[in-house]
Amino acid sequence: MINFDEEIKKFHPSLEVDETEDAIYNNNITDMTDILLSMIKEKEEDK
Amino acid sequence: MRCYRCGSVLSDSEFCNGCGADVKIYKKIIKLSNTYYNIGLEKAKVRDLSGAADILRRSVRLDKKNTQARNLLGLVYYEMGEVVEALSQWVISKNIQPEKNAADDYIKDIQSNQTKLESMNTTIKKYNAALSYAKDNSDDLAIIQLKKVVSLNPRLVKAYQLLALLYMKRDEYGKARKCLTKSLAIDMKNTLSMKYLGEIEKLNLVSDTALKSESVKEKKPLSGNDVIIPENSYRDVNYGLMQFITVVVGILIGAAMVYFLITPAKENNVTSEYKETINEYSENISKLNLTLNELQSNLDTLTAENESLKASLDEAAKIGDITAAYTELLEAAALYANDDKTGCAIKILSLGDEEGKSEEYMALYNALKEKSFDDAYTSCYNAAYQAENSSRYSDAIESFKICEQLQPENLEILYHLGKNYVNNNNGVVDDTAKAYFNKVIELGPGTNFAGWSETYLK
Repeated sequence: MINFDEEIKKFHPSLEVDETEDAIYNNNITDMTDILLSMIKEKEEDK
Repeated sequence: MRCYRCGSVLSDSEFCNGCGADVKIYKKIIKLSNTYYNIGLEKAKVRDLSGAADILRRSVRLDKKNTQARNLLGLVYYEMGEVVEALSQWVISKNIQPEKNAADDYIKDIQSNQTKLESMNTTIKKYNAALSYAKDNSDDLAIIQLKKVVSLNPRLVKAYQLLALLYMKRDEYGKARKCLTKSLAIDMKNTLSMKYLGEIEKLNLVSDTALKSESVKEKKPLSGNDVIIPENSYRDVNYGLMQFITVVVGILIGAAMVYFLITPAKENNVTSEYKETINEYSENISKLNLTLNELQSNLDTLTAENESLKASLDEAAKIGDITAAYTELLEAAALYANDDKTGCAIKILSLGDEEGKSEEYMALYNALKEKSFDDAYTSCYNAAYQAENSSRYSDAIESFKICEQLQPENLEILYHLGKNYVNNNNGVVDDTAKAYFNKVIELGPGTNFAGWSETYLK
């Protein structure tokens, strides 16, 4: 049986066009390669 | 694939040929990102949009420079109605790879149609408002907003899902099913939509089973306490078409009202105004005619008075003339009394017309004429000859003219008058002289005076 209150929590507001700029700036585009590179760098510094 | 350190093209070796960096794990990460991209592409092709989005997010988390995966992720978001999310991915993709990037075209396409972008923004705002209403248990308002949202942005999957959830809360499972069907047409294997639809199917099965079991049992007869609820035949109405039809019908009714009610009334008003104007003009014409008649009558009266006054004036003039004549006669009598017979004769000659005079006047007139004319003639005759002999021809003419008045047909006087005119005119026989000579010839043909006259006339 569907619990409305539980289900409604799954819905979140959408970003408006005015908020596009903030969304792009706040977008964390750190990927796995960045993490890998930082790990390699740390390893080299330890050496 | 290039080295993360020096940018050299990597070979199959685990180390970079350019800088010798260990690229084993790095190459694995890149390959995995590409693999996820391929899987996401396959899902997107079969319209499993939410699945494709999930996989593509993993791809870009592994390798942010995988612009192909990021562009495809943007497309998936756009197809699901999430415009801002799509735009964000394309902008990031363009920043990472400014040249030869398909995201450039996608961004230009959105920016070129500002109207559509505004419309999308409006739908997002309405969706957010509907979500807020739903969380506040204002289901009716939320449903109204969501209906507008799906009409403006028919691809916003979560709008359909929220609307279906609200219908399910109100046990309107038919409407909920329709919304979920539409959402699955966009995003074929959306788990949330499939979950809700599964719940509705379960409820339908339960209700069918319940109905079947009920039909087996004997039906109880209706009692007085039983309430019969008529079936709700409410259906969704195409509001746009209804509005258009309503407007058209309204226009037709308005036109008919104008034609049948307002136009005749206006015509009647115009007609009555014309009639009033005509009556007014008729009255004015009648008044003018009356005035004209009065003026004509006045004119006639004045004309008659004028005639009367003229007659009176003529009468007065006549009386004046007679009075003047009496005065002249008395003056003539006075001259005779002073022994100026020539003066008296001249005065008598000046009196002229004797018409209308009294007997006493005529008696005195004739008496004075008889007693003065002969002596006056003699006196003037002698004066005229003296003047002629003295070459005073103009004086001679004057005296001879008085003699002519006293004795008009005296040939000698007439001849001397002609002669003195010629002498006075330096010997030229003018018309006046000719007239006198002709008169002499006419009155005394064969006489000496006639012969001398003829000599002058030659």
